[in-house]
Amino acid sequence: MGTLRASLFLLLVAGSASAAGLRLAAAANLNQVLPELVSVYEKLHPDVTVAVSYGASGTLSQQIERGAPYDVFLSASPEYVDYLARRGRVSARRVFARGRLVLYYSKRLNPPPRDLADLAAKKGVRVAVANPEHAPYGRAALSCLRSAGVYEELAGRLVFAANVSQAAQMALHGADAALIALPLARNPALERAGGYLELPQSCHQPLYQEAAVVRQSAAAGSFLDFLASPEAQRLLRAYGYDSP
Amino acid sequence: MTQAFLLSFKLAALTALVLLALGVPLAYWLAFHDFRGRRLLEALLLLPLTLPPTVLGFYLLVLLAPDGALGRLGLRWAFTFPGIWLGSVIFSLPFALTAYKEAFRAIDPEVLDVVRTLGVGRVKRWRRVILPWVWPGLLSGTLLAFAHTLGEFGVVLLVGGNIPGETRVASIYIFDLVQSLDFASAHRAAAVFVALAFAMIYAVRSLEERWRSPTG
Repeated sequence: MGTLRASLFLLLVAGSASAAGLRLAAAANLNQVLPELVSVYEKLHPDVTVAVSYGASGTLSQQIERGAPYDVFLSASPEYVDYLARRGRVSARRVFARGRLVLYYSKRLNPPPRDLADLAAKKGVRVAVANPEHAPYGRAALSCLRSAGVYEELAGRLVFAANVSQAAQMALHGADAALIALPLARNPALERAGGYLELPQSCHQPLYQEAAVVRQSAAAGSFLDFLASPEAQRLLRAYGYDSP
Repeated sequence: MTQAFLLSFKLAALTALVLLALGVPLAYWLAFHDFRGRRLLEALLLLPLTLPPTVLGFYLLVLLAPDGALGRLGLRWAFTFPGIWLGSVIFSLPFALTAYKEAFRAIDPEVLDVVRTLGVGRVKRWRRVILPWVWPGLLSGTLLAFAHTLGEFGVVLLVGGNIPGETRVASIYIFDLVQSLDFASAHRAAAVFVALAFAMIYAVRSLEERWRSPTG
């Protein structure tokens, strides 16, 4: 029995220590461009294997605070990097892109909405947004609904998703529209099922995407440098991000 | 996909092994001994059956965080494999325990008495009488714990997050694919899961029938 327990313990310890490489905790809006960024990075650094976990920036920062083993945090807002910096959890940091918010609508909405006010005027329309409590895109979405003066009207018909990517998925499966990041609206599955309108960037706080080193290593530092490289910036622009 | 399923199998196997090692003596004890507070203990052990996975996950996360009660003792297991393993053991314990106990309860006590009066030693009693009687029950309970761990989601997501190779088990992997709008891969992984789950439940049911049939 004792040896069984000891060997089980060893197995567990070995299991947790064997995974090596660069672990990224990335904001959900990045899940369209990041796989491509990572494959370019891995070609430039063949000795590094990158593993990515996506989530809402607020959720990921909470995980990092509780000791989650990530090397680099890619946040959809500098606010969550600030939060970790105040707790001494990040070293280097760099804003690498600026995101755009769009109104995505399903083909079920016919005729398509011309703007947010037009959307709110459609009867029984359900709109998915990321949870503003921990998702920057959710906060930006509510801010734009407020500035268009339709928040009160839509409040009872908002569906809250865990993160902006889930909001996009909800727009495919059930909701009629969603306020999401531009790269998600350009995803082939969403493009087939609807269309999108860009929202004015003035209706919300800038959606700066910021990278921060959580566990210092050569690979973590080189990944931050890579994000600022012309090649990475070109890819980010192609997916619908602006340079910071 | 392979990585996530292998991780699921590793988690389920380690969980089922520990449950077999701890659950069988515990079930035997609960099946044949009456003591004060037995019902209380049983209710406590079966609690994960009705508890939302989020409640269990939340408590474990708080305990295993670096500044948590267990984290300060060195068990900094939040968002690690050992963390989701501990969660799985607790979460699947009721399934294994109930199956084991049923198996022991099915033993005819008179037969045990007769064997005992014949002066058969403890080891021989287990090897010749008890184990042949209960092994299908023990195996089906262990398989059930294995299958239940494979299908687990909430506890793993809360305690483990979604880290490839560490805590991204198959169920979380599918959740991640759906969220990332990769529906083609989600379909593939989900189909594998349906086949696996069916095979597992089929095996458990076959074992149960064998153990219930008088000739078994």
